[in-house]
Amino acid sequence: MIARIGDDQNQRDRSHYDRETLDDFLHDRLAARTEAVTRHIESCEDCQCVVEGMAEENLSWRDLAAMFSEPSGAFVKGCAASPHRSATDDAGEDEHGRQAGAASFLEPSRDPDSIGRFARYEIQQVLGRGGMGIVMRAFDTSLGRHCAVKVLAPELACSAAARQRFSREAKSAAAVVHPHVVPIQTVDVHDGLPYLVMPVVDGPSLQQRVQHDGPLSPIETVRIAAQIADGLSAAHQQGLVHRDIKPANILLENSVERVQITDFGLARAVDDASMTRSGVIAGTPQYMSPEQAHGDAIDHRSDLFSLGSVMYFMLTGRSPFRAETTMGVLNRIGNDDPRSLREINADVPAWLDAIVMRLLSKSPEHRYQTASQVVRLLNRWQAHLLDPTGTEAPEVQPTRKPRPSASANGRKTGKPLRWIVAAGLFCFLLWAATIIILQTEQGTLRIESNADANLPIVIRKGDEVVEQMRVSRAGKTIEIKTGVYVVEIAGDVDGFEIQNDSVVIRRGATQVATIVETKSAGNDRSDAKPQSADQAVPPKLAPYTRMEFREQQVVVTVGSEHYELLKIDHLAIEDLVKQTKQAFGQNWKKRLSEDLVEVLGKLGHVPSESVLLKLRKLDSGEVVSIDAPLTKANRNALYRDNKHNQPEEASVADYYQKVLSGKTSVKADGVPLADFLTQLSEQHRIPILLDRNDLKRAGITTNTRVSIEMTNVSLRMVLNIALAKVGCKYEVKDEVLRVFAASTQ
Amino acid sequence: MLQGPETRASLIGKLNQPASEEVWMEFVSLYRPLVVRVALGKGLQHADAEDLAQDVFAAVRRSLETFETRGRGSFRAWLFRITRNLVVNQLTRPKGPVGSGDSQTNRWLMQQPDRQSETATLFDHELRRQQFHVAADRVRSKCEPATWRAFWMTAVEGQSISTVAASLGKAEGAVRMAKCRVFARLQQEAQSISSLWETEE
Repeated sequence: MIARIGDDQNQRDRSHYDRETLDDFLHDRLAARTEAVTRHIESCEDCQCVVEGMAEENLSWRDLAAMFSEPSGAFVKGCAASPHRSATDDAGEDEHGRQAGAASFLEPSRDPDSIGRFARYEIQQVLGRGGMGIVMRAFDTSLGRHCAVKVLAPELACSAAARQRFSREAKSAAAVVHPHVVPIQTVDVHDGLPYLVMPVVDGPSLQQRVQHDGPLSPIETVRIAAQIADGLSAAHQQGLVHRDIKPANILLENSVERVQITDFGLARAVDDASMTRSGVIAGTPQYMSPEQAHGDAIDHRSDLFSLGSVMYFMLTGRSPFRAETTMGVLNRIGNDDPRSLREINADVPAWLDAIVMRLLSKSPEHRYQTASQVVRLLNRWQAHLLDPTGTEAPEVQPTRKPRPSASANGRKTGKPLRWIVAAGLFCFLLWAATIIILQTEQGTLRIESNADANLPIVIRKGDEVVEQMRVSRAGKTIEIKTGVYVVEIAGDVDGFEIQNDSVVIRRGATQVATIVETKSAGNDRSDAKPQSADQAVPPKLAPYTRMEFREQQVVVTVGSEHYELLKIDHLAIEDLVKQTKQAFGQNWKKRLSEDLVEVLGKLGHVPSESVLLKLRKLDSGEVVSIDAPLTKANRNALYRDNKHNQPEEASVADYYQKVLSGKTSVKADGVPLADFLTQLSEQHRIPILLDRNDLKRAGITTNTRVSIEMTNVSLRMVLNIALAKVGCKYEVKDEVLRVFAASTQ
Repeated sequence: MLQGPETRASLIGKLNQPASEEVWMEFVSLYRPLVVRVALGKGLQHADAEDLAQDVFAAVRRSLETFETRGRGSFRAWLFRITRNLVVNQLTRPKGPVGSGDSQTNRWLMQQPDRQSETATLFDHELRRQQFHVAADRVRSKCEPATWRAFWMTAVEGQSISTVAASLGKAEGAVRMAKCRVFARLQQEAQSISSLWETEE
């Protein structure tokens, strides 16, 4: 029924439909005259208001928008609904939440300079918020002095154990009295929130200092490092490990430049509070030791590793292990050798490089064993640097031999090659074609067949076939670029074995094939002969502060202006790019930007103190020539900024995630599990291992039938559904996708 | 209502038949992302969240054997209920040595009486979001693209009616009503998903 109130065609503008009609309109239930009604409502504001009101009877517009906001946003909202948030929730909270939370426990103050009152302190400013607590600048009203107050984060404070832990750690930290450790003046509880009070150290942190002024000189580095080691030594003697030595925790007191370590012992309280189920610590792990990154027990030598990282940072302006993601950093800390300091900054003396590298040894055994040993060594070097004639240089420590080479099947021990293999698993590979995923740097891949027949091999990168061939005993060599490759070898095999830089594929006792990877020489730093001390290393200088490679142009920053780079001296940029590519291979962007003098030298052009840059202004298109001096400051700025010129590193784990998230369609009607997985494996080109022994133990046969039909769902979903039905699970571990029995609970 | 709740009798003995297999696939497709999101929301790493989802659905699948004693309610609702319980339990219960490696942590977990209800709240909150996302997918496919855009730009992105009307070349009244009508359909769709899967009869 359609009823109009004030029904009169001539008074259309004043007449409105009743609620029932409007409700029908809203819910698409209009039986008749749909068009006329719609036309009226769409031009009648009054009716629109009624409809709008009816639409949000059950759910407001605001709530609707929240439904579709970013997942993390909604998550915060979900948590905020409950009065006590758990420790682990903290990670997902956004910055606004933090700021609001920071101030929530303050009491009002009458002091106009104060943002609130906490115990006897007038809080003037929130300085920062870490994983554990909030640091505020405050004025102590009873003692009449400024101080820093650190309060346990309210969301952690609801746990009695967290409170106790905070207080206990703060008290033991307070027991360390040393000129290079920020003293803790008070440890107390106010309104259920434990807090501690420290003096305000006027001056920048080491982080700020290096960010502002660029890398430090060797002598400055040695001075600061010696003082950090001294402070550490005092704490270590009390049995206290810092656990979070990083540039932001090293304060440099203004004027006297005295080094003070802050946040002693508190990292531990944080770890326990913010640990997720995975045992991964929230926050920046860049300065962590390998044993910390790995979650192993740590002792004072962990701080020494972090000290090495901090020294590396002082000398180069960046931490030794950098990656896009937290996991990437942790992985590099555990596996990679840092790039030599002298390669980055030629001013670093060999002995200093050796000291830092020894501190950065993966195994605590290979580091210096105590902080005081480091103090003595650095002090002697400092004396020598200040007065080279009066004091002798300390003996250069014999550099420890590199870490033991990788064991047969342990790829995690730092080999340059990362073979993804299934060696050592008590199960058989499933598929007729063997699939190996490997992550490699640019170089060559040599494959030799040991079988009588030619071995068909396909090499893929992503979906693209890089090479398809048959390999005989004579073998074949293929040029490859950096990336993750999938190598498929036809035929049944049942084992892999890693031998140094090669993978041997076997069938029974027979070797079927061998794959050897060689990195290209232009790129391989580790094999280069170590250069003797001052042999003409080209100076690290640059005429601009930023260099960015875009599709058709190279953009540089000179002063604060951005230009397209056309020429450097007589060299046109196209030629320069071409020749650098030839000379340096895949690293050419980095080399061209960071090592300009060396690159030019290699191309037969040794620049003078400045270069003539031919540039085109990005906005006006005007072409200008600038005689730009080559300076160290420019180069340092460029170097710090240069992340965008680093080659991208795709990891095997990312590759798996991509494949698992990819959409697929499956149809299986009573297919035995093993066959089903084989199909999936071939279809998606990933190795899937069926752990037959585990299944056997759980009483599941590999002939269990699988039926599933789904279209356009993720592979992950397919595996979940299909495997759950037959009582199995999968995991991606050590970069192999393994299928095993779901434990019975 | 799309479909009435299935009776228990009609399902017993049909568990390995295609009909209930379809329900199973639909069920996992619908709720697996939800379980992962709730687990992520509780601070689990991504891989652990995926793992938890696997555990939950493996356990649900195993419970199918005890379906006869499941009590009242539809098969779908029953699947939903045990899933919700499993997730809340798994995320609330201390995990033993798998955890952070520190027994202290476990003790705290025990000490927080509100954790269970907190997880349940999070679950329900995420569930509601999930319903709306699924509903949005379905409604969008049934709408004129311009109608959907009018709704999305105004109601979700918060743009003004006049801006959107100008950019879509529509009358303001039409945009305003498109916003309301799509919203109404969205609510209806979400409601039908909810009553199909989550309502006990």
